[in-house]
Amino acid sequence: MSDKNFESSFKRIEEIVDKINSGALPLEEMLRLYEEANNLILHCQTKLSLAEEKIEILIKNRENRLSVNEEGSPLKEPLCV
Amino acid sequence: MVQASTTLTVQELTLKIKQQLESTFTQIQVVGEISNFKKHSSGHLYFDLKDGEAKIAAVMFKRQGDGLKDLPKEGDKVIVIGSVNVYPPHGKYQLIITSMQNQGVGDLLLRFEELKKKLKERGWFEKEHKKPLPQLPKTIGVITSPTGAVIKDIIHVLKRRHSGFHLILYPVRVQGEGAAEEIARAIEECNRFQLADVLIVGRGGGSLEDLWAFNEERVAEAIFSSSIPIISAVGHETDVTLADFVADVRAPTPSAAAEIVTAAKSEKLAFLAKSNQQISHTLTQLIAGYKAKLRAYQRHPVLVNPLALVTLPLQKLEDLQERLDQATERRFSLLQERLSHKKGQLAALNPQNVLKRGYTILFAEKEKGVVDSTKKLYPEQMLSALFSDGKATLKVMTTHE
Repeated sequence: MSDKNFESSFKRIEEIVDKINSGALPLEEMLRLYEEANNLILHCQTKLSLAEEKIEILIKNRENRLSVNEEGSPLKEPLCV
Repeated sequence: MVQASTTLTVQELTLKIKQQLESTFTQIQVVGEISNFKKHSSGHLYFDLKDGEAKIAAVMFKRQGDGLKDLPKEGDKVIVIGSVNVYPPHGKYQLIITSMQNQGVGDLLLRFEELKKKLKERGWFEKEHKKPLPQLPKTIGVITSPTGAVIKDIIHVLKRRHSGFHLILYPVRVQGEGAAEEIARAIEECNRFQLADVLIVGRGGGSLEDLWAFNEERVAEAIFSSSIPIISAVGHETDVTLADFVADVRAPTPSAAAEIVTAAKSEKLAFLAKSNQQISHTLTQLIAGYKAKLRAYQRHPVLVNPLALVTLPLQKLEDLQERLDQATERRFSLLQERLSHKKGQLAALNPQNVLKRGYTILFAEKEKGVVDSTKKLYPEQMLSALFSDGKATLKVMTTHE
């Protein structure tokens, strides 16, 4: 999910929270909004929380320069702390 | 003044020298070069301070010596503060040092101020050059020593946040010869290979010399030219380097840098949790309200005893029926009464009844019709008389007016 998508999701959630809190809606509409917000919240939470934890270190060669692969991209390896 | 005539013991003389020297030379500042440096197993530091012309024995006790960021090396030019102390058993005097500073520090401070002025004049510290940090960085680049506390602190904070992250460490030397060049190159290469969305550049605390790499123009330039936003995290809160001035954000500590990087994410997660709680709460309240209403309805007499619903109309119906019956009856008897009255009236009008009361009706025999006037009569005329119980034939004798 892009930052922009995130932003619009958050805006929508905020909107719904305000609407629901105002309490001036028919029950059916409330339940529909609740479901929508709940789905958005779960989706965003999942996206934010479940990113894989990855800790890497760039590999340096004997000349103390970055080691690169054939495509010229720097080589990395997992870093254990 | 000690008189020549007075004879002193060695001890007396030594004590007098001790008193004189020690009271005269307390907390004095001395500049010199380190020589014969030795660290005793007790932790005390023993060495000589010398210059071209003279030398003085010096000691720095463990308590003060432990406060030094780096042990002095042979030949270091230092400025010390200390007091002269005389040791009677050996008849020797020495300098007891309470603080020591490398003389080069003064030169470094001067260079720092000069470079700071130069970079400031170039506008490198201006707000308009500060890049905003990404809200949700996918990859966090860290440029620091792989063995230092910085990387450990950062990872510790990131892990504590309980949310995934991708960190790439670019290992560099953070002090000594070539460190500045290495740091600058790391920043440039992170940009060239687009290795991260945000960079943390830093090291732990240290002396001005230790931190010096972060005051080099080469590093400041690399930070300024970076298109990836950079957070500087150099030393402790009190250590300020030029890198801090040029960086987009200055973090007081490496842990703080990690907090800054994940702040937006934490905020967002907190917002989501709060929103979730709020709408759930409101909905639960609302539904509880509806449920209570429903229960109230269920307790309503009509629903508890649905027959009650028809009992009332039924009663009303019966009532109506009764009233209808009564009304009909009344009406009927009234009509009957009126009918018998009319009957009476009619009966009174019946000619038969008149006849019964003694009246007679005369009919002319030849001319049809009732004789109701003497003028219609003539003598010898035959008349028929109708009585209530029969007829008789009569003959007219005379008429009278």
